[in-house]
Amino acid sequence: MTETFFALVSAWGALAVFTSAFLSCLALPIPTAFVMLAAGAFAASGDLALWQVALAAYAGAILGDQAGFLLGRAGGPRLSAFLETRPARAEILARARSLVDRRGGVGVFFSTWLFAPLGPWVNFASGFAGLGWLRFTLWDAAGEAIWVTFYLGLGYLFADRIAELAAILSDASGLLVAGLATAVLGYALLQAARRR
Amino acid sequence: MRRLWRDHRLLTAAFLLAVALTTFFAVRLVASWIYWNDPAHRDAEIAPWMTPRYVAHSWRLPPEIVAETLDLDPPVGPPPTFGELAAERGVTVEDLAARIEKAAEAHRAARP
Repeated sequence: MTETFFALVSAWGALAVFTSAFLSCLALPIPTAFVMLAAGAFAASGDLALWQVALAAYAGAILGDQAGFLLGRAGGPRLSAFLETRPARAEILARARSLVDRRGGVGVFFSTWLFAPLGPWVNFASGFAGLGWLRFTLWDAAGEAIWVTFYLGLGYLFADRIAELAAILSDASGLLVAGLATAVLGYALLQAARRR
Repeated sequence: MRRLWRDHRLLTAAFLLAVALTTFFAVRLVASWIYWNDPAHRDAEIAPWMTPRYVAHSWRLPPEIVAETLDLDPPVGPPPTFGELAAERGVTVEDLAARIEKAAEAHRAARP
C-alpha cells in the first residue's frame, strides 16, 4: 500500500503532492505523510525539485484546510439550529463554542502536525464553532509549515530508508492520537467518578 | 471499577478501547523501531516504485553508472520506475536489481 503512493509520487511529482495534501485535509484517507516522505526522497535523489514539492505540499495543505474550515462555517447555522432544539445539546454546544473561543487557535496549530489525523475534523469544527478566519488561518499556516518541513525533511535526509521510516512514523502518529484519546477519556472518567 | 462500569458504560468502554489502541500502537512502534535499527535491513532492496536516480542515491553510486547499467535513454519527462522499466523490457525487477548489484560491486571494487 505504502509503495503504491511512493509510485504515484515518482509518476506525478509535485501534482501528486499537492492533490494528496489537499484531499487529506478534507478527511479523505490518503497517507499524505508517506507521499511527502517520498517527495523528499526523490528531491534528494534529484528526480524532483525540492522547492516545487515544498510549495505544492504547503499550498495543498493550506487550501485544503481553508476548504474544510469554510465547509464547517457554511454548514454551521443549520447544524447548530438542529443541536439547539434540545437544552442538553444546546448546553454542550455552548461549552464547545467557549472552548474553541479560548483555545481554538492552539488546537488548530497542533492538529496540523502533532495530532495530524485529527486535522480535518478540527478544521470543520473550527468553522462550525465560529473561530475567526484570520486566527484560524495564521495558526494553521504556522502549523502546516512545521508539518511540511518535518516530513519533507525526513524524506530528504533518510531518502534511502523511507519505507521503514513510513512504518515508524505512522505507528508514532497512531500512538500520539490514541494516547491523547486515552488521556482525555481518562480525565472525563475521573471527573465522572468524583462527581458522585 | 464495577460502579464506574455500571454508571458510565459508554465512557468506560471508550476509555478501555483507547487504552487498547494506545498499547497496540506502542507495541508496533517498538517493533518498527527494532526493525529500523537492525543492520540487516540497511541496504534498500530495489522495489518497483524506485527510480534509477533514487537507487543511485540510496546505494551511493554515481547516477551515470546506474543509467549505463540499465541502458537508459537520456531522460524525457518524468523518470521511469523500476516497475515500468521491467514491464517495458519484459524482465523482472529482480533481474534489473541483479544487474545493478553487479555494477555496484564492480564500481566499489574499482574505487574502494
